Amino acid sequence: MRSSYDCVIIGGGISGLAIAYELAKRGYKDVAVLEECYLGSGSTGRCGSGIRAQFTGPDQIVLLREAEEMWAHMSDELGYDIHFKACGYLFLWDTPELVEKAKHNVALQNKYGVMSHMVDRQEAKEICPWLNTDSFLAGQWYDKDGMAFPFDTVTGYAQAARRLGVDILTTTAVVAIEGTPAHTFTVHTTQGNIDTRNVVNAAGPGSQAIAAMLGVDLPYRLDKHQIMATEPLEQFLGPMLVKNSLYYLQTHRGNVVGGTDTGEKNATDVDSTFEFLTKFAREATEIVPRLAGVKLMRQWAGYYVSSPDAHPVLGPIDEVPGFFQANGYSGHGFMMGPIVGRLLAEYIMGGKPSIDIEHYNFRRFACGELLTEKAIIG
Amino acid sequence: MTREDEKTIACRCEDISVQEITDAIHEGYVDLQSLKRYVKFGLGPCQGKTCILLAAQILARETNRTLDQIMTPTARPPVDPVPLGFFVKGREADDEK
Repeated sequence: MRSSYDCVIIGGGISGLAIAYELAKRGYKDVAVLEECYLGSGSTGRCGSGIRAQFTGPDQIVLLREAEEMWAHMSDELGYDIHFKACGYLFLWDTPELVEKAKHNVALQNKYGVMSHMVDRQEAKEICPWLNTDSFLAGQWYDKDGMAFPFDTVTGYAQAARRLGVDILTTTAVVAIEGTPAHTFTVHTTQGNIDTRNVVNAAGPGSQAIAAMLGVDLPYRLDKHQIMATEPLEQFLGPMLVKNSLYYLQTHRGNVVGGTDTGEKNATDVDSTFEFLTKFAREATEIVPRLAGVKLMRQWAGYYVSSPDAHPVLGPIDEVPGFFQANGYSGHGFMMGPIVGRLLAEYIMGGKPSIDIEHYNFRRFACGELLTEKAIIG
Repeated sequence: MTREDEKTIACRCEDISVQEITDAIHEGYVDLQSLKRYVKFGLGPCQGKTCILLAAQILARETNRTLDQIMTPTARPPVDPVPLGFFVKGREADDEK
């Protein structure tokens, strides 16, 4: 660790590492990433690993459409296999009202270049032969949605960023940040102080505490989301399956990984509960009965850092020049990682992001210009 | 005296050798949490009950630390794998198989 860097990124999850990599790739290499524990130890390593562009508002549809383009080439780009697979997302809708809404959302997605489409029960069963077709009325399908392996993604970004000269410091926690009148910062860490011109807050569930160090009040709520993995099996499932708040997929390692919402808002722990298991098992076996015989191997939990409109805060803070946000993803931080890396790098280097994300700025909360998103699942 | 060689398996669920673990340590994965996730031992049906302590010992030896200087990963429930059907219907799901 040196005593000064041009940019200090707080958080060694996918956001922080992707921003560091994209900066270094553009020749901006005077960068340190600070991680309080080990890389991927926060939300990234706990996530469901799904990647989708089937959202319900134009902003996230466009952002994730671009992210999926990046994901598809990420293993080659980073020189490390992150196990991206376009397994597709199959949403299952079980009431006429939900089917009508889905048709509307498909039309919107198609308008913005995400060519999802509705499928009937038989077509859904061709996509996933194990489905119980009595458990839904219609499906919604997009074959470019997919998954990647979170820890391999972290490793890929970290190794590529280090090769380009980025310093990545683990077990280095930020304890205070001082701003100066000249718009520079001194970041106090458990390993010493760092002077810098730019600070990026990519601290996931810790981002409110980091922002508070510079007097910025991020309006987030931490929601506990639980998840499980089964024993590894031969590849059988096919797509990511989603029904209401239930979702699961089969990873390249063969484990079925997924979760369901247990409604634990304003949580203060990430403990696993038996209640989650019974809800998940009931919902999961209803759509794929064969799963009843599959053994659950491990359960864990993480936080959704939920913002008031379920959209992230991205970009600079007007009142604190040089202080950038990449947080508040409301459950979608992993899938957005690559595109956030690119857009934040463009901001930090003083340019205009190649996709307009001004409406993701923190100032929207003060202006009352909230965004809308209804599809908040993994 | 040690009887291990490069072919000795440390993690039987994931088929990972002692050599793969020591290679990763020498690549710089010197905390057990990152090492486990990079090499991917301890993630199989035994949930690391066989290999985590072995890996911790190898890590301690390779980095000249004692075992209590190495943070071990959180033990995740369940202790042994359980069929999902068990959580839906209770015991009879297990008996039907």
